[in-house]
Amino acid sequence: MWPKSLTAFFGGLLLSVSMMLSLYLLLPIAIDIKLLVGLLAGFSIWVAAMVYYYSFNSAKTSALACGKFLLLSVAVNFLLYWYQSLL
Amino acid sequence: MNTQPMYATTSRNPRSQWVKNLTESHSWIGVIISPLLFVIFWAGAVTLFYEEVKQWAIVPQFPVAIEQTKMPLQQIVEDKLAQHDFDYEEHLMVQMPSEHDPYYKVFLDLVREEGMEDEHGEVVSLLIDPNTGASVANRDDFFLGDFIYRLHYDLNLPGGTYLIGIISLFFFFALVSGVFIHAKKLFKHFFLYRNDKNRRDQLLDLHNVVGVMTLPFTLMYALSGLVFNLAIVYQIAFVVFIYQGDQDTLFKDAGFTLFDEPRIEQSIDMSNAYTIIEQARQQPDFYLRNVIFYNYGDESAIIQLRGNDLANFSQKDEFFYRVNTGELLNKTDIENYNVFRKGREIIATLHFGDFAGVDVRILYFILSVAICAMIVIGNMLWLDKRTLQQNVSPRNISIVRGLTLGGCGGLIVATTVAFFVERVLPAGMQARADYLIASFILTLAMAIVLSYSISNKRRYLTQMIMLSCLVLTATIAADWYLFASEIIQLTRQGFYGIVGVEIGMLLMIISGLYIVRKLSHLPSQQSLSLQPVS
Repeated sequence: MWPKSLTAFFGGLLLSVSMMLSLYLLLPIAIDIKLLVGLLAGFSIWVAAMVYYYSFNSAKTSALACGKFLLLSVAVNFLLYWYQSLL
Repeated sequence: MNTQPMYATTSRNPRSQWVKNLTESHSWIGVIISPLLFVIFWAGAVTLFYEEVKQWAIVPQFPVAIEQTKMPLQQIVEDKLAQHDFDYEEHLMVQMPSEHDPYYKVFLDLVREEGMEDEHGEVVSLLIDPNTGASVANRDDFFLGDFIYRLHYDLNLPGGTYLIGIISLFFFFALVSGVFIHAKKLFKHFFLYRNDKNRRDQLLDLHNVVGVMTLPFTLMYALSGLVFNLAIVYQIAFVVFIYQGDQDTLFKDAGFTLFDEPRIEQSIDMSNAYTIIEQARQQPDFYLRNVIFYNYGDESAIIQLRGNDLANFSQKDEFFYRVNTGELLNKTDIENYNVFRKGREIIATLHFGDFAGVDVRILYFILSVAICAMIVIGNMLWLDKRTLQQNVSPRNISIVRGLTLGGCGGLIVATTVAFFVERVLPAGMQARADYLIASFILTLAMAIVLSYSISNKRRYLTQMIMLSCLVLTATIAADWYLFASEIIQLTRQGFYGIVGVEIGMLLMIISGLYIVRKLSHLPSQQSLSLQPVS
């Protein structure tokens, strides 16, 4: 339970931060709305990720799933930052 | 925390296994966060009546005749500045009287001692009679309301805000996982309570019924708790990745106006500030909550007025004026607002339930107490299951049992003792607030210790409820013995909070006696899971 909790807490946090940054870069809305959406979406993503990571049978499979999602999300972050820098 | 033996054989159905894993996590996370979650909800339930509790604690000690002529605010503030060593580099805040609270509250940052210029200096918080301008007490002397409020949001501990934030996060997880676990029966068994079944089914039904029916409320609390206590996480992320370290710009984008002008060191008369304040107080549908003075008495002086727009839902207005010229520098109102800030204010309004009358707060209180019951029932289910399965060490079971009974029950006893102490301690007593805190902590600690040493748990629970009822009765008696004429006079003047708190205590006594009666009629096989199984 403890290793799975660590994955859920920190993995969920990193994933939510990463996805929130992507949302911030993608959404074509005013900055104050972006901040509010980012904050509320951030916590919701964090908890959704925790539920997903806790649903695995073992801490190892949970950590693997976490790693895959995180890599994908960070890759999207890089792409978006790279695209923004071109503009 | 070994949870493997329970599901040693993997289920063939992946969905079933998925739900089993979530159930396991839900029950373990639930039991781990339960003591602090109970503190949050119990303290939050009492805090819903923060203004009433403050009124009950303070106003009978220093009754204010509302029909008397009030002293001008300028005279009050400048008298206090003359009496205290105010640091003019810092701001000065005045909280205005309200329908619940007839006093001005003035907060003064004192000049820091030599060599300690970098540290935050002492802040004096004065409670001031609006008629005479006399400082009747230090605001923190009557600490009960603030103590319980702080217990709710930071446990009165350094770093407690983040701890509460983390508990809110796991509570949010417990809610969402609970929905997945219960999803199939969410609507079918919406009102199901099997009174005729065994004790475990009854407890499970109660846990589920309360959980489902309070779901919108609990989801709102979990999310708003996270926004208040753990937003720092995303604030850091935004500052680092989006704002390249520029925190001031982030605050500006989030709608928080900052004026940080240095003093010019040319004195001016501040009368203009008080004219602006008076004009704001006269505005219809506007309640001026507080005023903050920056660079008081200097040509660069600015005042910030903050208040509630009473005509619109959850609208907090804010105005900045340059005192010397009367120029409006910035305003936030129903036509000029920042969505982030407004959204945060709406979340706060929903969280505190202060968007309507006292009836909404009573409803919030009932829901909060129901959640407290749900937390305890969740622990009882956990204890029943683990005791039967014997897959958790007796030591861990004993710890959970003690914390559930002594921690949750003890918290209620400690709250009643704190109310009693707040009432009977003399107003001018030195370190009054410290005695209140000590009485609370001692009672709570004693309740927890006794819960481990007393073997008959049901009798101990009954005794704790009876003690709470007794202390509340003594508090009401002390109220009338010490302040009978003041309470009658204040109620006639429209300060209904004092009698309101007494009615609340009376209802708690009646509920307590009813529970004791029910407990004494429980058959022996319906023994509490809090009772150790031999």
